[in-house]
Amino acid sequence: MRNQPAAATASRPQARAADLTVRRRAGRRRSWLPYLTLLPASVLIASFVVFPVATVFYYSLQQYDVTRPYLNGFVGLDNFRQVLTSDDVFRTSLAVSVKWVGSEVVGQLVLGMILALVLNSAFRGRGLARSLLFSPWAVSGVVVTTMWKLLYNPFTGMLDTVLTRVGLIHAPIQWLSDLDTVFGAVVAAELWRGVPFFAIVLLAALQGIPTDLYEAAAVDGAGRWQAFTRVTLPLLKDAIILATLLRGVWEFNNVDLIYTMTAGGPGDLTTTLPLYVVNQAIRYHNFGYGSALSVVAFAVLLLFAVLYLRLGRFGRDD
Amino acid sequence: MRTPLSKLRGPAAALLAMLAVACGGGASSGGGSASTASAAPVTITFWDTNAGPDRTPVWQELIKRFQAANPNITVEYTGIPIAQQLQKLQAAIASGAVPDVANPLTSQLSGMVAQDGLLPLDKQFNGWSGKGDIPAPLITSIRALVPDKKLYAIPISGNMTTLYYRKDWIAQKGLKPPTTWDDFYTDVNALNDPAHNVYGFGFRGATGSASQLENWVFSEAGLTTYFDSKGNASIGSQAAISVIQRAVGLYGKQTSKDDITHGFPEMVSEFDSGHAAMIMHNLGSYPQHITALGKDAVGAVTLPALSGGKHVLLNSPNISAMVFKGTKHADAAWKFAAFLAAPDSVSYFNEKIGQIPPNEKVASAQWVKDNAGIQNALATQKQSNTTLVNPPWILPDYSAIESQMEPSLQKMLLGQVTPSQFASDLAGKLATSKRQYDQAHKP
Amino acid sequence: MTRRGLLDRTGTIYLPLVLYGLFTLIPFYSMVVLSLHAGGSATGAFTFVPFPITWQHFDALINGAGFATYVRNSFVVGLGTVVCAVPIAILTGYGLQRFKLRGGQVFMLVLLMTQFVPAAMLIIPLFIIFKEIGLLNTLIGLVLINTTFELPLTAILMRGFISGIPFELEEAAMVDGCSRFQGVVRIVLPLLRPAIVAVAAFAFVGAWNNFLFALFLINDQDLYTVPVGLSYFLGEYNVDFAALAAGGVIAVLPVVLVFALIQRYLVGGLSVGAVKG
Repeated sequence: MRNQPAAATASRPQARAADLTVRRRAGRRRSWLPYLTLLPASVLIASFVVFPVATVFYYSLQQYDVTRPYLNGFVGLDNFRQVLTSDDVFRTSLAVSVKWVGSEVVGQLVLGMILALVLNSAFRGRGLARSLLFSPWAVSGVVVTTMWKLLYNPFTGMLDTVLTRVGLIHAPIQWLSDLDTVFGAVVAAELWRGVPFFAIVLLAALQGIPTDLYEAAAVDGAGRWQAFTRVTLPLLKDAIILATLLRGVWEFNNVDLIYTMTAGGPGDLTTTLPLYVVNQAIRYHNFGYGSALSVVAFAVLLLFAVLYLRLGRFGRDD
Repeated sequence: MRTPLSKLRGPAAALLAMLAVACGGGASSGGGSASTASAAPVTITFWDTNAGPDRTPVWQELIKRFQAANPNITVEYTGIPIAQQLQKLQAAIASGAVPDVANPLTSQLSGMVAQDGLLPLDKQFNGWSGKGDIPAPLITSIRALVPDKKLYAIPISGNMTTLYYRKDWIAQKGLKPPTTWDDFYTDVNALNDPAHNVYGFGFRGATGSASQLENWVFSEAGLTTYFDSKGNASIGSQAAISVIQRAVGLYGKQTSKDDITHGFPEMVSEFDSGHAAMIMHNLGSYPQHITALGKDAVGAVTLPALSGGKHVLLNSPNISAMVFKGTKHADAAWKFAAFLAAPDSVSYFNEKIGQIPPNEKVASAQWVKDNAGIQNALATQKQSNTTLVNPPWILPDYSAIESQMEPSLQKMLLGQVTPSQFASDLAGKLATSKRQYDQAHKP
Repeated sequence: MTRRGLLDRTGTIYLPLVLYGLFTLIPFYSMVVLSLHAGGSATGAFTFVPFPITWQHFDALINGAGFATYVRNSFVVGLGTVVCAVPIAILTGYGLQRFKLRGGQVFMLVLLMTQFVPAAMLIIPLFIIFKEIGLLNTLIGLVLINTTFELPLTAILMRGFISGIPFELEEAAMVDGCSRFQGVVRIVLPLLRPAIVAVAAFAFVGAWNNFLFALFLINDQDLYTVPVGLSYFLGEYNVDFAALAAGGVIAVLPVVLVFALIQRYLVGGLSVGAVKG
């Protein structure tokens, strides 16, 4: 039975109306009808996701190389044992993944918030600014990586050319080869692409905050920063949680940018866990081992999602 | 206007074609049965596993010629980017939704046969008029790649690892061209000018790095066999390790530090934009270098000789035509494959892409004589003191092992892994793979 | 006050705007320059201005590489995904939000879990499913698979928007004699219209830019979408940077234009209640 929304005042006509609806529903005995709303989504997921994900779980217990059938067979938990106890790359890639997701989500959130606040103010050309600044998110993945790779090219790329011309540096910086800069360089490219997502969601959420709340805060003597932390942020809490969770999961599993820019290198420096999974399963044909890695990643993500939602108390009505 | 529903057109047409063939009495099952099906219109699908702006037009021209000579056969071309081609082929074989013909490299053959995806072409090949033009050793080596020694691929293009160097700079400085390894290192040092952003050598540090290094090591260390009699890989030998050490020693000094992330495009860009004096690649990029720098600036030779003038060269795989087991038009598919392997097509294709035509009739063509890189490769191959070594393409995971070593190679360039560790790791993987294969295929 | 005000505005609006604008536009600028420049195809070398200008790269794309077909296919898949994803998102979001269903939170987790495995691992089983159902090599198949994988984003966002529409409004309608369904159609949907636009935009861009499914589940070159068409320029021996740049421009222009048109709705509408969650 659904809860009634906590109405500020339950007036008598409203209470009677609520009773009516409850009685109506009970009378019709259509308690399964609400579940019908989940039917189309469930059908799609059942058709296209359940079986493929199940095969990954299935193969995690196998040695499976499609080009070497003479080695294939059930190996029980051996793959998992190897992953968890003797695979250094697994550990480093998990660490890189955490670093990657952390930097991206925090970076995109902060920049997205700033952008949203700026684009929330009134100024001439706001509409144009919004369209332009949201557009990186619409660019195709292969174009994004190619363009950024060109930018970073120390011989022919824009960055080093301009910086040398202006005199800020004397020798070209090897953005994607230098161990100190490569991670930041790849992070910057993904930031470029991902900030608009946050900007859009947060900008919209900002619109829903009644201006009288800000006025009340101003009357109380709150400065701009206090208004932000006391009024804006709490009301954006759910939007932030939702956006960061969705984005976090997406960034975790998205390999195309890193793969094309550095292929996970130099060494294992930018190899995230899903990149390692794809390398093992697809490039090296160790599909069984790659599946086991994938299952472990799945568990990590599930744990993270559950904890995150619990901690954020997402969806609880105020 | 085409709508998604129009996709039924394809299968419907294929169904009609099959019915026509069945009624016409020509069975389309693998064999070389006399084809009475030639009258009925047939559509076959061809997947290009290396689609790109320079190759696709060549294939389309070949298809045009084929269709002109065989009016009842239509060839549908689908281009697949090289980065995903293997996975797509494997998915197709796994599900049965295969094309009729494709053009993968012979290095992929053993894996695809292990998946039971290909049609053996022995009968068709033996009955083919053009079979004598293809060098017999090449056919034998292709048969040797699979357990049942049947012929699953017809070669249409050959390749060779090539050392490209700036002929003009060498001449300017009065240096000797890098035809021996000593000359190579002399030239690399002499042409190195980091102050002006020019390096002696362009190292391939990213995708394809391990393969390239392997070619280098075999040539400079003079390794004449891939595995020794005990099944150890010669890449793990002391001679090999010394060469690796020397090669890696160039990194950062005679090569740009950026090379560690250089895959093919970056490496070629470095050479073509005048920032590297020499690179190693294969004949396939020769046309591109000439376009960028001009014919007089680019020298193309095989990997250098050892001090006695002797060459050891690791062979490169062949582009080949393969027919898939699930094909419903085996006769038409074979016709297309045979067409691609015929002298005219081989000549046209290889002239356009700058690679070696594996066909006796084409070897004396004028364009072959005019291509300095190919001439050099052919001449070196024919020398009596040249040893040609075949990589173990029979091992289905050979390419995967090479890919697996790429992160380790980068670590080696960074000094985090020693050449000795790298070599023994690689040798160990190769030996294990060979042992597992031999065990599984005991006669 | 004006001097102070201007300084203030500069600091909080114009400066961040310009800085971020530079960051956003520089890659675009280099992309446009590269696509118009006569040289630089093979090396992608940077030049400040695209002189000498040439249209050859765009020409090669549209006439040579058949890019018009790819753009058309991408539109079909994109619009198809919107048509499928938006109603399902509304339905699912409404169900999750309005009926505090037992297992609602679990269902949300299930939605999220569809994103927990890298897509590359799912290709072969998907391939097999598609072949069995007969969806292989069809644009409809792409529409369905994109809809499925956009579900977490679209449904969960929609749930948030719906939560901001007070249920009292529907109740009032039902008291007046409407059925629940009519209540939704008459009251909720109009209020949701801007939210629908937002979710549609996310769904469209997601489907427009999808590469993996489009490459693996389509065998017919005539049905290739834009991302697959673009990857054609990443050949083994030749990366045609200028063509890729031109392709990127062609690929992004329609989406940016659509964006420009709808950005006003985007903001107006998500406002209704993404706040409350």
